[in-house]
Amino acid sequence: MEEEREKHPVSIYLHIPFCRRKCRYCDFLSGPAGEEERSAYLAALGREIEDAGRILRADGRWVDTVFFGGGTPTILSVSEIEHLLFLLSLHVSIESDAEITMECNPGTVDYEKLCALREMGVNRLSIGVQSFRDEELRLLGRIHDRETAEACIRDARRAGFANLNLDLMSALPGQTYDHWIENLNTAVFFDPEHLSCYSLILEEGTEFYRMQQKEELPPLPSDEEDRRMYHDTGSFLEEHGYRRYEISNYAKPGFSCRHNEGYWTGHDYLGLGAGAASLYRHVRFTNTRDLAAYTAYFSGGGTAFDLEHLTGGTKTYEKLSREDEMSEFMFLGLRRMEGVSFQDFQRRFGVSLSSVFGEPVRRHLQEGLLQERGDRLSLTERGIDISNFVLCDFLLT
Amino acid sequence: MSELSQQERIRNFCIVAHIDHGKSTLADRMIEKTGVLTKREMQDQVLDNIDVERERGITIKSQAVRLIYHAKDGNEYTFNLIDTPGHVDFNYEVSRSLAACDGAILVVDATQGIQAQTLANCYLAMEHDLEVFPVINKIDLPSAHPAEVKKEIEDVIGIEAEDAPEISAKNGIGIDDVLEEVVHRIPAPKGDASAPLKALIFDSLYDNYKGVVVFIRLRDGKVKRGTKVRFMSTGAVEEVVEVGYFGPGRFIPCDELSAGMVGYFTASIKNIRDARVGDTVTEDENPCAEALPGYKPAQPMVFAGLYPQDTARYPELKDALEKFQLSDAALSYEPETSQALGFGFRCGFLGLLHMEVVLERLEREYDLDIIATAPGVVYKVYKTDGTMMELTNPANLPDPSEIDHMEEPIVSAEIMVTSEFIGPIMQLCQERRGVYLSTEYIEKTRAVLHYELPLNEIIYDFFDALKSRSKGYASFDYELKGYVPSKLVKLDILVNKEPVDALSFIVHEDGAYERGRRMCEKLKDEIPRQLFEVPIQAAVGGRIIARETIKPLRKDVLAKCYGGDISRKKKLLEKQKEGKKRMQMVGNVEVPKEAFINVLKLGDTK
Repeated sequence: MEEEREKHPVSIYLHIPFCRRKCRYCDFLSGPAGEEERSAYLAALGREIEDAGRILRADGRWVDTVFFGGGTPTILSVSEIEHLLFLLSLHVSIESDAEITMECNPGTVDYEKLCALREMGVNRLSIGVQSFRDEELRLLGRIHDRETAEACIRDARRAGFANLNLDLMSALPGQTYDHWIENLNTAVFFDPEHLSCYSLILEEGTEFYRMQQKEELPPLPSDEEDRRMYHDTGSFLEEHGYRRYEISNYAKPGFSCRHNEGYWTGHDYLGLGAGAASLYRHVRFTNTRDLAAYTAYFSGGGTAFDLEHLTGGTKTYEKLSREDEMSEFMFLGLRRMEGVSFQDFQRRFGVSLSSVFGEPVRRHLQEGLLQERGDRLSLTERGIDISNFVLCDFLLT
Repeated sequence: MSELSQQERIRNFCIVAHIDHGKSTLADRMIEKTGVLTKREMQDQVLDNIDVERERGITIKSQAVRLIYHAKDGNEYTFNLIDTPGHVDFNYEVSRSLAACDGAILVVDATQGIQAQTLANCYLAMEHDLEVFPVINKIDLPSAHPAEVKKEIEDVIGIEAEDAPEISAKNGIGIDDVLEEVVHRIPAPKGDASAPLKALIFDSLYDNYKGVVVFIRLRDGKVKRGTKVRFMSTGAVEEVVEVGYFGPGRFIPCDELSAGMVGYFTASIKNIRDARVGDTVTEDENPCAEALPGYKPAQPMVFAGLYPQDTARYPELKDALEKFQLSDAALSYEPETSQALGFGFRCGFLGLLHMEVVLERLEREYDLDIIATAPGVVYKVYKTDGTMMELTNPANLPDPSEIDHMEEPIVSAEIMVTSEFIGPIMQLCQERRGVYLSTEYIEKTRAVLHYELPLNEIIYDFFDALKSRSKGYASFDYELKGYVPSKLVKLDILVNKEPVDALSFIVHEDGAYERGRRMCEKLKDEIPRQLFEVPIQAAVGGRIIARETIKPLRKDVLAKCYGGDISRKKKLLEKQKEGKKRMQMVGNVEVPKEAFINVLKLGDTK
């Protein structure tokens, strides 16, 4: 079993920490940068790709998904993106049918650029639409309006993208239920293969958080309204042929995001770039968020990672114990609507799920927060609403 | 130089004052001046030898110290300075200390003049027939007005103050004058050393090595190692192991104590209760004819339940209380069980300050985290069957149908206040169900208000309220007056329809609604949302008088969790799990332990 896992393909995430302007709700590692800083970073990222590729090859591992995230990866020029993809194909063994996703901000692409991306092998585009209402987009601090977003979606289709995701945000300050449903309705009109719908979370350190503290934000929808939006999203999208397969993700059959599924099912992944996290051979390690330090390290020819010593470079390492992995199996697996499989657990850890998590499982089944269907254990609708309350009971520390 | 007998060269006295008027500091200076200790040996306040006392600036356990003074007349005098607590809670300790003295120094702050406890303590001293002479302290402060203060003392108390020493204890000004005044103003004891032993127990403490140490003031006779002494109230006979006097902060053994002297003896007594304060000690073989007038044992006036926060530490709390009681005879306790808080003790205290001091010492010296329930007083419950029960725990209140009527303790209170604050203070007393008796003007701008107040209205935060409404100018003293019938009800707090025993208490009918409403509001903020809607109710005899609702938990979900988020989200969940562990089940509601503490927090009832 363990050997089987070691042979399983690996996912690669590339972090592009640049954007035109920071959105007010954004707590990701991202910000505007000058030409020089950007090219130095990309050079370093190239070195990390090269060294990571060396280790993957040595371990005989293939790659089945690549995900360009950010920030705004599409802020890069066509040739910069082309170069990164070239380095990947040069140093890493990528499966021929790999899923290659790129996040895309509608304000940073045109038809020609989208055609170029499609041609160089990007086969899944994730468009950060967030909203189809201009006043909401302004409040969020997005660089595009509704018209630009709609044009971007049409252009992507014309450029040949057959696997499109749209990101949308609900529970925005001042947003009504009707506004939200209208947004969904517009999204569905474009018939994307995939939709990610996130309820806004005010993260500390964001502009929104500061505005909220100073009472400069319109009122946020109540928890009750937020949940009504959430639940009706599920039924609305289901009517239109989408299935919710994770707490915030909806897809037409066969179009769930393979890359993200890997995170929730405990597959190995390498995160390359500043602040990116990896899980590889039972170790989780994370790059520094300090761009300058990252750039200096890899430009100087640093090693991507060192699982033998678990130290050094610009990374922090955490060796996962068996208990850690069991906990993660549960709290990540239960985010999926399919839930977790008792058999998978038994196969992976050699003990039954019930012998480890019998008490919380029983209790939450009783409270109607979990449900058991055949071999699978999953959250109920109510369980999703308060999933932290349920999931924290599956930590073994 | 005239020849004086040993007894004629003894002065037994105490210092009385309002809190913060400088009593302990004066004691320190006197100890320094008499040269018993070098400056380097001096701790800042030698008489206060318990940590808590030093921090709070109050003296709790009365103690005594022997000083040797070379007076201007050429004689060497033995001073026994007996320290007394200044706070109303400890009045009974003041009283027993005074009985060992022949005189008292009255310290009055030159900037504040006479305050409520100045009067109370001074009158107490005069009741014990002590010779009192005044000392004006803090004269070096810019706002000092010693002349007015002296006049005030003469007008209000009626003792001569014209020649009162003007001193600064803090800066050592005028201390010599005070020492000379002690020689001249305080009478020497007049005992008979050849008469049968007759000594008053004025204090005692438990020492890990010596056992119970008995503090005595000898009226007549002598006592030394080997003397067979008899405790007159119990008839118990013990052989004296050691006698001695009080060095600053320690015991100094000596050969013999005789009439007029103050000192201690030990006699392998294991329990402090066997050496009752106020009892008379005599010689077994040659007893005195009659005992000295004793005084009442300390009566606990305030009761509260004490529970360990960690229920597993109950045995430690029990152990700590047992040890504690050895040195604090005023503390009483008996085991009780609360459905919400587990196993604990119902403890009796002299007052709220005493309770706070005990709690603090338990937490500090025994490293225990303690939950204290709302403090209450002793109510008298007259039942329809003609019997009366003393109620210290609201949980034991009989069914209303069995109660004929109830009585609550009241105190007579003296509040001294400058005239601009008379209005607000009268308002406060009225809110606390006070009955106005009279006003007495000390001078144009200062008055003493006399009130009768229910004890249970002053044990919570009365003192704080008094201070805040008078900008700190009001002072307050009280004594227990007796019991009066009162319309009392039991207020129950229900969480999800289940009464929480730890939160029940007895209140006057008129205050029940207000109190209940505040408790509900507070609990609503303290209890996190549950899976289901949780009503929080206040009820009197089955009738709901206030209600709040904790809405069910609707949303607690992370929208995103991808590869880069996992570590951080895991930490969030770990924190949440930790929070769950600190919950206490009340029925099927999870209540954080902090909620009880915060709702019951002393002085936080406003």
